[in-house]
Amino acid sequence: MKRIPYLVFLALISTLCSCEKAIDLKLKDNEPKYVIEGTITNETGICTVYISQTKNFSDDNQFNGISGAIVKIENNGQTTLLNEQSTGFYTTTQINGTPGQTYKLSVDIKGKQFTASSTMPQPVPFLDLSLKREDADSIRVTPKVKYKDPLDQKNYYWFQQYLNGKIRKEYKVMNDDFTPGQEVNEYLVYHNETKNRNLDFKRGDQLMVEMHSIEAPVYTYLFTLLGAGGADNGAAPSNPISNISGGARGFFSAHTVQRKSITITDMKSK
Amino acid sequence: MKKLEPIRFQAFIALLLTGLSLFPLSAKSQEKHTLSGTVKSSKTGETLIAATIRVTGTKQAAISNEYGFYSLTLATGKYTLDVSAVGFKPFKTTVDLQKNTLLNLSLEDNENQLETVTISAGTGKRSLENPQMGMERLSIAETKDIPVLLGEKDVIKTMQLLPGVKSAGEGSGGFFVRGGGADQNMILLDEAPVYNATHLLGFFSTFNSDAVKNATLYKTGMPAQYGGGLSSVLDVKMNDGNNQKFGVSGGVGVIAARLNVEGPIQKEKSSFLISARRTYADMFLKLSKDSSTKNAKLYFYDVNAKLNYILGDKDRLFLSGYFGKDVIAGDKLSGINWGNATSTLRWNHVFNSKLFSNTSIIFSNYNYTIQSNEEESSLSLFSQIRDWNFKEDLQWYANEKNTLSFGINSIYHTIKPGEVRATGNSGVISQSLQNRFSLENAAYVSNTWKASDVFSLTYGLRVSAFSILGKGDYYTLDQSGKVNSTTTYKSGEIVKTYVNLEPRLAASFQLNNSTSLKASYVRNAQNLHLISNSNASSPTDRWVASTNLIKPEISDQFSLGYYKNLAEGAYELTVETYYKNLQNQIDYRNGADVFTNEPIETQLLFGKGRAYGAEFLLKKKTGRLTGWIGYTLSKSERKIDGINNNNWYNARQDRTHDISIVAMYQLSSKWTLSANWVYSTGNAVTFPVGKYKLLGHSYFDFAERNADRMPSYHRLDLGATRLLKQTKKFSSELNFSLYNAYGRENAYRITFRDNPSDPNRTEAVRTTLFRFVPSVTYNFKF
Repeated sequence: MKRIPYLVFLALISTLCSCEKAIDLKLKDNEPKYVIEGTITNETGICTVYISQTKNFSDDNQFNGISGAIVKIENNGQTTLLNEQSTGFYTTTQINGTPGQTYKLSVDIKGKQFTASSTMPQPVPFLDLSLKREDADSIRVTPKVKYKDPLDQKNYYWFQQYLNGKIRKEYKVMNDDFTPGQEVNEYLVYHNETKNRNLDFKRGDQLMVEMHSIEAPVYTYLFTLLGAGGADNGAAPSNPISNISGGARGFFSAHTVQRKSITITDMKSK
Repeated sequence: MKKLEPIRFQAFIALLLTGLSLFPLSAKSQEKHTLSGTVKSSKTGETLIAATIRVTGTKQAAISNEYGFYSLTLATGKYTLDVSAVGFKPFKTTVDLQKNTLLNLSLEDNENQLETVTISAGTGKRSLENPQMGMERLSIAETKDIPVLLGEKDVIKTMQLLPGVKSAGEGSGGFFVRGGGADQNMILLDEAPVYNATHLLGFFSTFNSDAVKNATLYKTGMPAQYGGGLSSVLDVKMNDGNNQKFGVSGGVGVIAARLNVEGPIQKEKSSFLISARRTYADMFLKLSKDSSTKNAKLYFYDVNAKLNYILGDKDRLFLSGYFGKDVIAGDKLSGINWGNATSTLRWNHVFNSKLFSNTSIIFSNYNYTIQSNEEESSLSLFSQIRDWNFKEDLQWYANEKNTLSFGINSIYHTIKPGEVRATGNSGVISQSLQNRFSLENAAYVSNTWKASDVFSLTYGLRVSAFSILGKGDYYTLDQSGKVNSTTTYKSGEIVKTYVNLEPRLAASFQLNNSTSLKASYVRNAQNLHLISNSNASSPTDRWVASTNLIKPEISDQFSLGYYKNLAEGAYELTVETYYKNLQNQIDYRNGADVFTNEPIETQLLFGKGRAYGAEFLLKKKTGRLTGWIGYTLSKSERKIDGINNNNWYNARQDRTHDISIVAMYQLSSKWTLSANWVYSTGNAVTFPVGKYKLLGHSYFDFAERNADRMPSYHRLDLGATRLLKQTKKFSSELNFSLYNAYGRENAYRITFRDNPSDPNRTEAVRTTLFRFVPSVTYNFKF
């Protein structure tokens, strides 16, 4: 559902009479927590772990990496130590991620231990990425992805969205609760929610979509991350459910990657 | 707590016997007769609820019941009766009581009240001797001058101005009572449960004030005839229809138009009423330049209808119905629609001057459809709750000291949790979640015993039995909430029955002519739960019945009250305190998937709650200036396993302070001015305690649940009513209102984001909904 009813609600509320204003709010500070973002893909030699820390709300958005961590990945009894390539950015080319394999992450930051495990699912073919004229305007573009869900197991999908090579905050996760074994056509949403018109979409913009087959705990993390800020309807915010034990924020995922791109050639006027 | 129940039950039986054992005593003393009848309005023939019939020179008095019936037992003799009701001219009449006598009473409207300048306002005279506490009764006339958002006068919004009752949000028609959730209010329209009592994103209630006679809210001490609502019962009664003369009334406001037609079918014997309203906000959308806004749909309508037949002195038949629908749709008609339908067939029968019966068959339905349409596919989700309900209520005015009520109730619920219909190439397979069936039976008995001139006691018991019926699959879950076994039940097979004993106890002790103390204890059980992850009531919130895993919600409430009439009844002071203990409270798990075909139990967590507070209300009831000042100091908390590290946390609606001031001033025979001011502590919410970077973007970090506060809320509304014309044949008025008159920027919500012009910073953004909202409404009647 690319136009979920709640958006209709909000659009109509804002049409009625609402006004938004940035306000000063004294927020509590918390002691910093470590943030771990780990991925292994089925592309040759892609295995990265990024370690950073939470900051206070009032601080700037420069998130610095954490150096000096011992980051290891174990697979089939073989342990690989990742090298710190730049501050907080740990990587190795020794591991070629393979569907069906289980990878165990262990991170030691100044004596604090964090562990996670993830099994890479089998890839599901990414059949098509398409965009119609009526699905594109300057503030909202909704390309369609197509894939065929395999019937024999539960499948989870993660679509990462890029615009002109830059990763977007919007992403989509899907499961096959309602679509087992079906050919699925689903819309992704690119939306400029800001009032900054420089960020609007235009002809010639390149949309790139990465389709990942992910496992259930990663789906849960990404699904709960989408709702983490609390829904507009007043649902209480809460931290996403991480698959990393030890109290860190973030997640660890072994997943497959397929990419498709499309260029906006025509759009309707807003 | 559970262990105490048998003891409580024995105590109850003992009490019941104590009261009834007084019967022979009183019967012996002197020959007694019963005076009974119906109280009505002489102008419209509408029966009057809660009219007082006082026997002058004695302490005896009767109050008409919800069908206008009263019964008084007195010794042989001549009496003068003092008859009064809110909004009507009081009068005296004499009766020579030699045998059981039928005496129907008619009161004249207080139309020329302006000349007398004595206007009764507020909720009528609060009874000092009746043990009933925590009750607020409003007739529509009392809500008419209070300014409201967009001029749609609304009995629920007036209720929200009373202590202990809080608005669910800016402009909202939803409400919270004594720290409970919005779904813990049992809302009845002519006895039929209304499962979603709001229209248009919650800004309006489903109750069209043209069709409503009055509304009674019980915050505690619910009479034993009511069950199923944990924190309150709101009992709304529709007008019966004028059986004297044909009439049309209506109004045109900035958002909606109303029309009400009523009249006799056969004069004094039967009448009809039909009342309808529709909003036309969608007309304004057409003015928008934006094409998707232009094609959007946004409206609601509702229709109330009633037929009413008087079949002699002893019988009366009513058929009433309500139908309402909301439609919100955007591009390609994707959107949502929802609506309630209820109908009630009622038979009042007077067995004799002491025994009154009401038998009802009630139907109630609520459903919603979410529709999503694309070029090549469409998807709809349909959900429904439907009830068939049988009720038998009896009132026995046994003697001058005892009034008993008893009865039974049986409801068959069918819940269709979700039916997905898909077309086209989306890949979604059409499917239905299993229907859920249940049978809710209850029996009750309660006695109000006037032990002495100063002491009265109400004691009763409601026994409810909720049976979950097949067919369907029921589950057990493991620690992490995953299904680990499934049992399939056949059609009609009983899955489980929950039996709850719900005692009702209340006592009043009159200190003197103008002061009384009251105390009460009530237990309530609720078996239909609204699973909601939102603060404002959303039409898509999901109703679920108790299952083997979802236990009945239970509340125990203790209240104490102090009541005083000042300046010979010109002022009335009420102080009530309460403590409420809640069991089996329900919340979504963190990160629950609301739209899933997994069993709903896998998405839920359970725990307990507590709420306590003190409520102060000072009312001025006579003179040109009338109104009230209300103040509530309260706390409401929850403790749910799996939320907030299993620690107690504030319920979202926990608002420490809550003040409302309501004033109405009769300026001249043409103008009435009004104002209300409300103040409350902000909702308990969860704000970020930090932020971090993930997948190239910033996200916020949270700690304790609901440990932060929204800014405090306050608002002034102004209103004025100008009477244009008033003759016997035609009357009309203009009503002006200004909502949020000083334009306070109240926070509807606060969200957090990267600053769009400086992505290196994050900012908090406040959304404000309504400031300076003026409205004009024209009302007419002929």
